[in-house]
Amino acid sequence: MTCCKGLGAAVSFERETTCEDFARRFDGFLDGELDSHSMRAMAMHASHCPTCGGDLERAEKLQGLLVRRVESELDRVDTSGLWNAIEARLEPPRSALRRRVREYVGEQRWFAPLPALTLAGALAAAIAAWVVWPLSTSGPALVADNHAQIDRIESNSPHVAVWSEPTEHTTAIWVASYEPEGMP
Amino acid sequence: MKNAFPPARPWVLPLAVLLCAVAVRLAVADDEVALHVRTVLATDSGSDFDNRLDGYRRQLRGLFHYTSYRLVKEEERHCPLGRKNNFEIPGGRFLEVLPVALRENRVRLRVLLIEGTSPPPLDTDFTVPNRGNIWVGGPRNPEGVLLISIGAEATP
Repeated sequence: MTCCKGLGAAVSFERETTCEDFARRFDGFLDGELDSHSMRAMAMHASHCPTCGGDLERAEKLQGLLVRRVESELDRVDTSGLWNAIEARLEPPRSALRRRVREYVGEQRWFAPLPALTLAGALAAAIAAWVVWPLSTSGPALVADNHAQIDRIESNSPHVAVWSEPTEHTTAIWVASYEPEGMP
Repeated sequence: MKNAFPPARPWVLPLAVLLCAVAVRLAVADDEVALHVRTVLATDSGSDFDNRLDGYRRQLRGLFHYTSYRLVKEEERHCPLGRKNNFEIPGGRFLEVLPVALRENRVRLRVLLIEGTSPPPLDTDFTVPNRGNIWVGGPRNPEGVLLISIGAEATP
């Protein structure tokens, strides 16, 4: 791009756009990316400078050719089935959990007559029962070795006997005064 | 005046109640002991064996030599360690059971057999395996002899 000197026709207090300025900011001007003040200054320079104006005209023609070429190529592309292909691969949208629960509950016909308060009461009762229910209800001893260790025995009876059975080693304490005839 | 607190979500309260219930449950579970006292009437008349005592058949046959066993009273209590429990035994007797401690999966018990105002026929300290039991025999009954099973189950 050549320089054109001596083009000072525009009356302005601002610095005049030179050909170097024009060349440096040419791409931005062509793409319309400059601010309005710069766009106007560049346009004025192109209109007064034949060299820069010619460069701009050629560039605009080239750009126009490119755009038309691209558009013609795009017109040949058949996009009619594109969206259908994309849509087929998309998962159906999922609604919120609360909405899904509500829909599920709504589908259950047996559920409908139950008032919410009843359900809440049943839930509260279940939690309360779980809290206060005995932790375990054990039956007979399930331990393999049921041996008891006796640390102390005091009795007013004359005889107290302690013995164990041989299989589970379960221990028995016998207070003899209750059995005048003797132990079993 | 604008409320300083954000509106509570509807699931916050039920969740809080549930968490409290879990906490209470766990707190209770840590200290609770289940005491089982079963009183059996043993006689030498007949050969009946109460089917409710099937789980104790081997123990009873191994320890005693009566011909008939019948469950006359069964009681289960849940209490924390360190709390005395009085179980009524037929014939105006009481069995005072104190779960003292749980150590190495054995439960330490203090048992006092009380009969009227006379000195207690039995006052003993012992340990049994967790979920184990011990038998106390001797109290007379018009029909035979009472055998008392004292069992304990604690949550380790």
